[in-house]
Amino acid sequence: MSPDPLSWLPALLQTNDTLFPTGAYAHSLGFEEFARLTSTRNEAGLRDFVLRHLLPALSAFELPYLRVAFEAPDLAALCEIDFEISASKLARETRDASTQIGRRRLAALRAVNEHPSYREFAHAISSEEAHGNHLVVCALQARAEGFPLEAALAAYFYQTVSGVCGAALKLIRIGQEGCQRVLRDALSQAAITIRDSLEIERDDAGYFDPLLEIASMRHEFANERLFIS
Amino acid sequence: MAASRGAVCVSGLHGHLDLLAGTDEAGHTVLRRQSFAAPVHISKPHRDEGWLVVNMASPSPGLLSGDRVNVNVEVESGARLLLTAPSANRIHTMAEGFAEVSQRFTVNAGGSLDVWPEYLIPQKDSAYRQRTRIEIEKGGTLLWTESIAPGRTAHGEVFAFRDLRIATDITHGARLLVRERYHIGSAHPSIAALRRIFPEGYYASIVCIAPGLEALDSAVSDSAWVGVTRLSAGAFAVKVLAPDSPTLRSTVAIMRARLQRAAAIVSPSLRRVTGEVPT
Repeated sequence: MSPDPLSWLPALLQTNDTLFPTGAYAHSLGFEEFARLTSTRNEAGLRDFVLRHLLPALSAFELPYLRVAFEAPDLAALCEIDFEISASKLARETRDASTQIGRRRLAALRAVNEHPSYREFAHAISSEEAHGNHLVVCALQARAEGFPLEAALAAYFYQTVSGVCGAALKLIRIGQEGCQRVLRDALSQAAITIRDSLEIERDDAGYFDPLLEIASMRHEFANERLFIS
Repeated sequence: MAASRGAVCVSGLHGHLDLLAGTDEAGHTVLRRQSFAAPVHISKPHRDEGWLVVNMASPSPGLLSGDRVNVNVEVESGARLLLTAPSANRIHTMAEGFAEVSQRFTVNAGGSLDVWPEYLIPQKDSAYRQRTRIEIEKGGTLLWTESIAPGRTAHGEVFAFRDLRIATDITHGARLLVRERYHIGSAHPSIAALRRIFPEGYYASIVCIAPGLEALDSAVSDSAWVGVTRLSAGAFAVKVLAPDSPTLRSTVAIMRARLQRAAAIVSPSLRRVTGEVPT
């Protein structure tokens, strides 16, 4: 009997679900301060943010790095990639959010499947050989659980957009259905976003978005805020 | 045969700037090694508040298709070097090809480097590639300022360049602290998003690494967007977006002055018009 070609799918669904305790719900990934600075207040504004800021950054920076980490030959290479990702996130809150979510995901993964690569990477973090960026943990998980690369990229795409839409529910005048419409519009761009990301080499991976970068920097000093980042 | 896009144009100038700043017996900063070739030229250095000020100039002024420039600058322990420029660095309109600058800066422990060029102005249809590697030893000081104009705005030319690729890596000690990769053109989504808020947006990036730099006012300007963030112990980054050149100049001057105060860096006057007196 041949192995089930979708044997990896249940684990992907479990760990990409909002029930999986990564702590991502506490982060808006820059949207909170961006919405304040640009007076983004409704569904159209959220759609604009997702399509003009989030998806291009996924295509040019995050998904390429997820692929690079997925293809890393060993732990040392993975740690080097992890440091590059941290250095690429200038805004402190963005950098911290990435490692907080990454470490939480790694801990949750170890709770359900103590794979040797998880243990090794956790040791690298504790010995300060890695920071534990979320992108790297997602790549590590994809390899450990046998996710195809394309599935791992699509899962990361979904959870990133979904996370911002979830934050938007608390920040702007938008309902559940409005969020789902924005999410569906973003998902219609998933295939092309992922395809474009495959063309980006490691040395070129990066994105110019000073509006969002400055918003993330200013969020750190905001007097009022709902989200950690 | 016409060169294809991205091909190396043989008509360009291949120049360089090579500087080694050290100290003489009196402790003054001197250039212990200097070499340059067009399209780069430097003025006679002068001293200002303990800094050796070197003005970089270009006879064009600016870069044309096919121009290649290699910059290598090292600052030894005890030396203080300020690299600046009297005029903007224009990337001239080009039908094809690109201009390219590769630069490497090294600051040894106890050395100080302040790099504050004028605007980079990528003109209509220009293509420019810049790769920068900065290595700061622990105990070294860096004040790195980079400003980009959207084009020749006085001529109504705004974000009309063809291709701008900027790669920057800054290491502090053995650690990679900053890694930036920009690859943008006039139709890039981030430029479109930027223009909706700043139709003629001017951009600046400042990185300061200095022993003792622990805190920085998170200044907020009414007319410019300013972001301040701590990169690590003794290292901060500042990003500025402004609606016009005078606002960017004044905001950058204010933020540089704050960084200099916070890091106890004595600032040379430069006699540069900033539009506003730093407070």
